[in-house]
Amino acid sequence: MWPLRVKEEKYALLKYMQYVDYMEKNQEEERWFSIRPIGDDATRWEGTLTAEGRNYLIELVFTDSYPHTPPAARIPELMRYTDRKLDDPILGLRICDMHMEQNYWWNEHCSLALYLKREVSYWLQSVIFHLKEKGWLQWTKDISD
Amino acid sequence: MDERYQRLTLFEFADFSKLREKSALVVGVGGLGATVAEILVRVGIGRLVIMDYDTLEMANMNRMIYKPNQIGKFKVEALSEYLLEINEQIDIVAHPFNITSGDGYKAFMDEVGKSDVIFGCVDTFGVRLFMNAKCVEQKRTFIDGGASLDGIRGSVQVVIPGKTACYRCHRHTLGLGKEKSEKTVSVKEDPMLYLELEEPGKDRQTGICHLTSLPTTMTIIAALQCQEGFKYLLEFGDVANYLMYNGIRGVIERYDWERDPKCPVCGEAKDKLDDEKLRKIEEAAKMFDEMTK
Repeated sequence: MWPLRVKEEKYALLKYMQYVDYMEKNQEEERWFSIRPIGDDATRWEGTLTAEGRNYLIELVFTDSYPHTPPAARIPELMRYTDRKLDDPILGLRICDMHMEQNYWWNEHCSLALYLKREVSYWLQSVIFHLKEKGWLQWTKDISD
Repeated sequence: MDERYQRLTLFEFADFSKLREKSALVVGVGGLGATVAEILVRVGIGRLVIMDYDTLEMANMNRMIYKPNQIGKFKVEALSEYLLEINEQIDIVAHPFNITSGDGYKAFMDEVGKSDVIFGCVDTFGVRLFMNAKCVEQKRTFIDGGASLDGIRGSVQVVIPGKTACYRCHRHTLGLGKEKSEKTVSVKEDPMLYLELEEPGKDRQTGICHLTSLPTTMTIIAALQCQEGFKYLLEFGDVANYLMYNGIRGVIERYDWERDPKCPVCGEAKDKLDDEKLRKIEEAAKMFDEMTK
């Protein structure tokens, strides 16, 4: 079941990448996200999110209990800026709760793509907006370093 | 005869005492769910299961049932206390869990199987889809209720698996790469799409709900959910598939959607991943691997 799910996720992500390329007409430039599985079993994924010229690492961890447990997701650099944190002892991660991640997990064809589109992008933009508004964001050093 | 049900015995279309043999599950016990639960208890449902992981805040006080001295308690705990004061004969089970993961998921799946009807009273579109899928999977009737972002409109959908359109049947926009419905309608024409466009309502930063919530609309929608639930459980009247309440205009409209045979949740072909589709998925997965090397 899981190998098929991985293929479906890739299919949906590919469609989403095509959608982003078309909608944003940025075929020549880098997309605002990149994500790929780590390892053959594809239970961990990594990638980057780009906002205002900066890259942020994103990590997703899928357990082997599919489909019951939704993936854990986090953006390490920005975790301190969110109020919603959850220590997950099983995964050994502090999950940066992007609020609705689990709701996309049972969408059988497009959980990751939908999650990136409808939650992560919004969350990232809102955090950056908030940081700038507070004057906390100092571009003296590349966060992705 | 228990005196508390005396006036119900006068009802000529159905025998309300049959509710004593029925079990209902209410998921989400905010403005909608708490009212649904209260109605069910007052008419003497046999077994009532309530599920909600949230705790009470002062912001909940504009709606029914809860009291300021209960702030901080789990909603299901506060509601159980209240319901048992009304009717101690009801078997009430309270689960303070999130139904979508861990123990909450297991409890939800278990309770769905034991329930005659499941009332969806949540504020999140994704959870509605989830409940719809699980109820269809276990062939249990699902009655969803919801209010609009502005608080003055709402809808009720009754999903009888195999008989009526499910919550997913007419929401084709969700599936990437899915074929469009032959019946294409604009957002303005389709009230379901209109409601769907309204995003679920918690602030991403603070988690604080910013949806308008009117006790009037909530009570109307909860009552409509129960009314359709009684019709289904007691087999009287004509159960409506979809009711839309518009408080601005002061009307309730009924729609009976046709089932979508290609619905990924309840359609006949839902579990069949044919060779052609599988081939497309595998090709796309390879292309994705190439692109992300």
